[in-house]
Amino acid sequence: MKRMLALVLALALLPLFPALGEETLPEPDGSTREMLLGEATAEYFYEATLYYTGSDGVSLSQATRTLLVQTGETLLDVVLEALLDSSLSPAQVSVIPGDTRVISREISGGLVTVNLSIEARNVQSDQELLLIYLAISGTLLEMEGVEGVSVLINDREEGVLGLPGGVFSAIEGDVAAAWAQMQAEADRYLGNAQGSATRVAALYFPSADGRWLVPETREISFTEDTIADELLSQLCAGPQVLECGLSIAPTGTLLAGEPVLAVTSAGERVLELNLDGAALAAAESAGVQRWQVCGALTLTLCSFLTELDAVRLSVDGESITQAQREGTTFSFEEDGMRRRDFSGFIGSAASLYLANEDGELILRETALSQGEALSARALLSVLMSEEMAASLGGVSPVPALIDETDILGVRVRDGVATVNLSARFYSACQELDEARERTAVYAIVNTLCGLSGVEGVRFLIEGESVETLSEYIYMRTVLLPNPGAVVTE
Amino acid sequence: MWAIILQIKTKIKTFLYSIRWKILIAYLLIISIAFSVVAATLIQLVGDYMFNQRVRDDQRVAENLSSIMSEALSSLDANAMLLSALDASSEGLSRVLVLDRYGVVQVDAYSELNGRRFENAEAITVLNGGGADYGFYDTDDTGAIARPAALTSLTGVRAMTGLYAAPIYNDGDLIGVLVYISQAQEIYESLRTLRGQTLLWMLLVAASALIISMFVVRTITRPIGELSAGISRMSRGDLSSRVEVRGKNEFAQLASAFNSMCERLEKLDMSRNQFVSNASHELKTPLSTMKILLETLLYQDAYDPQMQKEFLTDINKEIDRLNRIVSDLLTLVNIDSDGMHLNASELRLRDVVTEQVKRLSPLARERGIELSCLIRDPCETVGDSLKLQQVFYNVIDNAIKYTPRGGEVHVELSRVGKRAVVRVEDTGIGIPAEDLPHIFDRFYRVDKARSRETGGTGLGLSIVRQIVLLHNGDIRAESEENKGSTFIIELPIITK
Repeated sequence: MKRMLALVLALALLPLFPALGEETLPEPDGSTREMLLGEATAEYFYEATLYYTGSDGVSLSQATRTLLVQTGETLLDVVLEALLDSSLSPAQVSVIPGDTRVISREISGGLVTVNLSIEARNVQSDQELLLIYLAISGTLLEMEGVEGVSVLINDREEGVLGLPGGVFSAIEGDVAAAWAQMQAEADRYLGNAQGSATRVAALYFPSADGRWLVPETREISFTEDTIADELLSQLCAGPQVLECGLSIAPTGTLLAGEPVLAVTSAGERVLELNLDGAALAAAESAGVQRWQVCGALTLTLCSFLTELDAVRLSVDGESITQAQREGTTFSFEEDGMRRRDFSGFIGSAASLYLANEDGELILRETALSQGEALSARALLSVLMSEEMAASLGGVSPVPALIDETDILGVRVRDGVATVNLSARFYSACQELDEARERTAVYAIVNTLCGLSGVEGVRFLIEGESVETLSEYIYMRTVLLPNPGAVVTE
Repeated sequence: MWAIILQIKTKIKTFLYSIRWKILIAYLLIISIAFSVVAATLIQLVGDYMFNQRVRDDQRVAENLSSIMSEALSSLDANAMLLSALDASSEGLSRVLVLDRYGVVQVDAYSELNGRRFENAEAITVLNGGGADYGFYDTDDTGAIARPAALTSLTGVRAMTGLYAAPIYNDGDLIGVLVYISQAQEIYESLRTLRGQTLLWMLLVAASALIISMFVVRTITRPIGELSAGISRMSRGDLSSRVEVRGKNEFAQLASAFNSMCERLEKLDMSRNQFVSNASHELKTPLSTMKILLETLLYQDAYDPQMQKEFLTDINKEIDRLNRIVSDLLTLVNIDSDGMHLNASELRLRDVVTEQVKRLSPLARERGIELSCLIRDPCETVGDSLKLQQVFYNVIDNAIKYTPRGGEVHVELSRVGKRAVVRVEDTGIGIPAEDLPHIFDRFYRVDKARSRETGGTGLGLSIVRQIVLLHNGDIRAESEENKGSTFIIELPIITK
């Protein structure tokens, strides 16, 4: 009887223990402490599609090579090095003449500009030059995040058959067809005032913070006579996509006279532009720095106009010989402003996810240096800067008093950025409600996932994974970006 | 006041204890239970069909989406997953979530749950290798899934929502779960409407059943009431009370039986009265005669020995007659009160009949009547010989007494089937048709003056009938006035 009663009692109490035998969500394997410090990019292998000279010498062939990207190297450098290297196989002959070097390369947004040494000009024909352009652009466009490639030789646009190459934005597989089209365009364009051509040009706009020049690619149509005017007109019209860029001429016009192409005694081609003083003053009033006007004009014109070596600017007839940038003084010689004078100030637009006053996630674009725009740690530092957030009309998504010192380390490996944050950061987040916790986490995740090669973010606190940041967001897994959480204003 | 309340209470109590109330409740309960069972089964079937259809459709969507998401999730392509999720979701109707291997929401078409663990039973089942699963939930104020909801819930479901969890595999490895949340409120509403209509129908049917039951119960209980009233009247002494017989059902049969019983009781009562009256009369007649004779003797001055002797002889006769009446009455009373016991033994009716015929032959000769006897079968039976002798004696004696001189009395014993039949036929004065049914009644006389003249007590045939009945036999009479009568006595015989 007692046993029976005990059994009945046990059965009656059974529903009070629903957790018994219930399944739960799987937990990640317990990880050991991993104290990340600084910024590191792990070595990794990249399978590159490289374009070489075809067997007939006038076409391209593809070859796939697995490249090791070591710590401290960039993928772009490794790929360019491989492309220039003809020593690997006799069957894979580089289209780029031997001894050619990469003088500089710029990565800004999706635009890659490769500046080759003068040796690259040692080609027998324009067709071979076209092969160089197509091989480089084809190879680089295979890389994630690269949307356009501009190839310069010795800091200037060499052009093909007298036509600018501009920015290559699509892989041209059939070289013969491309060459035939180029020839047809050249026939139509050269020596005919009405003959027009269409190219994608890189237009460099002043950043709103007065610190950088940020490129935006745009398709333009032009004739031989209007090519410079068209570029200037587009610059005056301002950026179409860039949110962090400004027009160089808010009044719509900048020139006081027609551009004049001059050839110096050294044989260099210099474009002389006489700026309208009032228009320039209006631009400066609108936040555009004088050096940015000079830089935007020089970079844009020298990157597109064929064989243009320099730009000589004057204001109301008076030559500009100097310009100031945050304590730096630009001094220009008599032979004008060259592309290299400003190439160090080409910035890159970066997307930062900040918070608004309600704690919701908002998207802002700012111009950073190319290095910063490619660095996870630098991006996080900018994200946590209250001054930067305020300048962009937002609020820092992380709690107050948190700054870049709370970023202990960042590492990118296999598409995952692991961010090691300080205990102070963790403590400061404990009081966040769900919305603000989500904003803080996804501001970091979304911002870092804007970097090429970063698909998700893992968080560590003092080298250890934690269950949640405050209470809601699970931190022991790789978090993917949440672009849908961004509110539009 | 208290009296009124008490009266009302009593009435209510009477009503509650009444068979009418109980039958009504029984009808209601039976109909309600039957209807509820049928309705519940029907609703369950319809609900299952509707929801199963929906489950199949949505499960298919979920599984398609899971295969679409597979590559994107394995390559951590959140944008591609979000685009697919947005394509497959529609505001307020459906929603797609993609969970990773640990149940963390990585993509939400509404971008609200990202980063949270989706601790839902179906997702847990999938992540633990249980395969695709689904469930139904209710939502809270914010529209978020709140608690499991039963399809059969009548109320309290804010928005019925189906949740389908399908595994996302990549190269055979489970890498996540696709959760497809779909509004199922319209199905639930349809089902609830169906339930409401069914409930309404049930109420209508119950009300109809109640009304019909009231009529039926009234039909059943009214005869009972009338019967009850009839019994009450009868118990008060009104034996003429009858109940109305309607239809041919059991109650009609009961009413008919009651009426028959009343009729019989009334007849018995009348018969008893008649009996008492007759008995008084029969007893009073000799007493009156004796009183007259005695008074004559007492008040006669001249003593005439011849007359005195004659008178005393008459008085003696009256006393004998009184004695016979009293004896017969005692015999009847004895039979009525089951006081008479048969000394049953096996006997041949032939012997009993022939003996009585022999016994009465002198009387027949004296009266100039030809008494004949025909025995066709010895007819062995079990009975009381003396009593049976009395039966045949009385019947043959009656036949002789009521047959005029020159007439005939014929006695015949035969066997018909399993019964012995004794027929006593005479060519006497016969019995009028109106008297024939009463000739076995006590003290009933067809011709009272003649009967007394013959020395009868008016109880002979009653005693005969009672003795025959005691022997499980039967007696009846056939007669035609002025032509003669036939008394037929049937008795069981022994079959070997």
